[in-house]
Amino acid sequence: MTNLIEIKQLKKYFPIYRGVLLRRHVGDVRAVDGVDLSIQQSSTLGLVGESGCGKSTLGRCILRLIEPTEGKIIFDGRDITSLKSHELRDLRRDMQIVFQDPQASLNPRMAAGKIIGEPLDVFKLGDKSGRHEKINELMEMVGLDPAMASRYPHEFSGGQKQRIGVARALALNPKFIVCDEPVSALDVSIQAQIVNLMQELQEKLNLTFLFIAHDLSVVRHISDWIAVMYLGQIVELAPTEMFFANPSHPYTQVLLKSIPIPDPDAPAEYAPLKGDPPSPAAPPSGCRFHTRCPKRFEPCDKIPPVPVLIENNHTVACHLYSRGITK
Amino acid sequence: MNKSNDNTTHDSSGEHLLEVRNLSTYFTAEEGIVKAVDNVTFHLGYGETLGIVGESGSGKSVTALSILRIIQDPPGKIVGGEIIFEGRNLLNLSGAKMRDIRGNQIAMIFQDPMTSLNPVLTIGDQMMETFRIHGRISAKEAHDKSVAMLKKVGMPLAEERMRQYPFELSGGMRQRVMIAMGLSLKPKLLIADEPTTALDVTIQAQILELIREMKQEFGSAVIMITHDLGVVASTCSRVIVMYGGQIMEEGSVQEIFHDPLHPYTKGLLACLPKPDEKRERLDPIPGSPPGLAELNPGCPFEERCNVKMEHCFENRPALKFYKDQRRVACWLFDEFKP
Ligand SMILES: Nc1ncnc2c1ncn2[C@@H]1O[C@H](COP(=O)(O)OP(=O)(O)O)[C@@H](O)[C@H]1O
Ligand SMILES: Nc1ncnc2c1ncn2[C@@H]1O[C@H](COP(=O)(O)OP(=O)(O)O)[C@@H](O)[C@H]1O
Ligand SMILES: [Mg+2]
Ligand SMILES: [Mg+2]
Repeated sequence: MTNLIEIKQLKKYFPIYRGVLLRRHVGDVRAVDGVDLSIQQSSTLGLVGESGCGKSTLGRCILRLIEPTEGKIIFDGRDITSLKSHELRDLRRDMQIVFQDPQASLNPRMAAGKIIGEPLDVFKLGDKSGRHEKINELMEMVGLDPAMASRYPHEFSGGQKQRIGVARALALNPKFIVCDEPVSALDVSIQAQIVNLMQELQEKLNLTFLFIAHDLSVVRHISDWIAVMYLGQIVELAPTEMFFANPSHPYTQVLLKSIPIPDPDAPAEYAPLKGDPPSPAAPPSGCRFHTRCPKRFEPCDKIPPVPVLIENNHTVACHLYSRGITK
Repeated sequence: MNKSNDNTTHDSSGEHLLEVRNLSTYFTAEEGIVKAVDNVTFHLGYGETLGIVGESGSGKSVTALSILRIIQDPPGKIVGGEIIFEGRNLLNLSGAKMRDIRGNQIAMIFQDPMTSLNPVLTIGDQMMETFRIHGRISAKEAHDKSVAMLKKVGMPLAEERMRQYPFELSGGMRQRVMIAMGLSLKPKLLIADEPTTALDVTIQAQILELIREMKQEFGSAVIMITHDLGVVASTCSRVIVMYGGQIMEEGSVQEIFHDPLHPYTKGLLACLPKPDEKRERLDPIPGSPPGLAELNPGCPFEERCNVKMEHCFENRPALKFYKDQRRVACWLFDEFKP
């Protein structure tokens, strides 16, 4: 299978300045700090991790909505890391994003049809009747009645608003969509509707997804691969079945145990992770997880672990698996 | 929280800690009268943990706010019912007595602690205030008690936190402060309204564990309000399922999860992704929750129900006992069909 997306050693640092008159650069928020990833054509990569670990920043860097500090982004075989703004324009047609909060991401003063058709206007695609037809088609595709095109966002329910967001993302026939927590704000019964919709669309339109979420059960259901992120870095990456059969990074293991299972007979395993994640402006030395890791040992606070392959396709960045390091 | 250490007991008179009877709370809105809570009846034993689940807008928070009598009036009003707490109807108490209940007997924690903490006062000021309102103690004593309580809820660097403002704390730490403040007075009842919804699962696990420990230590009863069925399954012994301002079903956590009766409860459980069965598609409940101002006269779930019958639109099924503690409001289980 070919990779639609390849990311090499991607970094995004947000500079921190102090002082009003003499603005000094005093440090950086290392939101994304050396990420290698690839996403296969027509597949879904699920990206999980605590809030603030850099998921959204990574997604936005790939789309070139924000400038990466370092590293390489290859899209469909082409290096897009340093495209100029006029070259980015074409890229926008191929890559889209769906946001978490459908309320905030839709212009309240624009009718639904106008919102969905806006990308067509921006790219001056088709004539008036062509656009009108396309909007109807998009609305039907996401399960909205085209008769509702003249209604405003507040007249739609949360699930319907997210459908509008999805239709807008589909308007330019993209190949790749970053889904940034698209169901996190929705009720469970509505989540299931949107997850199904995303899957149907993926199959019908041959889409590739980066699916960001904090709900691992949803990610498990929709993803072909799963990546776990901690303080700007990927700590574990594997195909979904392998990931759940053999979760290997101590952080992944705690994450999985932290999720309450909707079954009263499930064993109550309580070993909650201590404390909050450290600040990405001053990440811990060595392995970034060592300050909270229940399995920390000798080298962990000194040497940053490099990702190693522990089985075919399954990568883990942890000294428990590092070669040449003995416990 | 572990169900097995649910120290449910009845007091000597055999009464429940809390009995909510036929509670109705309405709001006046542009669209008309919103029946946010409509004829809701349930009880809570001493030391028990009761879950209230349901989608957003189903009336969970308004139920909690009604118990504490902190419904904003206008637009809201408790229009009927009784709230019997330890034998007294809270709806008949004077404002002063009610403040005493809120301070000393019933504590509440909210989804967003930021809204219930004062942004311009330090954590220390706010913690000490709770102790000083409820007893004549010196500033030094209040300070020491506050630090001790912060340590108890696992707050790192408790002394330092006393001098910080709410915005300087993470969401998880703010929720710890709320729990410390709520539990410092050893309340008989803790109402937790989506206490972990805004938090990461790792922090959620810490907070749920903390509530469990506190409950054991103080023997408080808990009403756990959540939309997360995982949280319910892992913390509660009994569950109420709400929809459209009404109770659809009540049962033990085992009954609700393994033998749901109401089509809504069944639908909620069915639409969760199941790890051990590889399904192509999830089974969502079609449509979306109704606007409470335009409810049909019958069952609020009728519009989305996959087993609805002809009379469901016009006639509301009563919440009836099915067996023992089991109650359900659905014509499928009602022998007196209209
Ligand atoms: N525009 C920005 N300026 C400065 N810091 C930022 C900016 N955007 C994100 N960050 C910081 O980068 C880190 C990662 O954020 P984000 O990618 O939003 O995380 P996630 O999506 O995993 O919650 C956080 O510490 C956040 O505060
Ligand atoms: N201050 C208010 N004014 C008008 N309507 C309100 C107000 N507070 C709550 N409601 C309505 O009451 C209903 C129940 O709300 P709530 O109890 O907050 O639901 P839940 O907590 O289950 O999500 C909703 O339809 C909501 O719109
Ligand atoms: Mg994000
Ligand atoms: Mg609520």
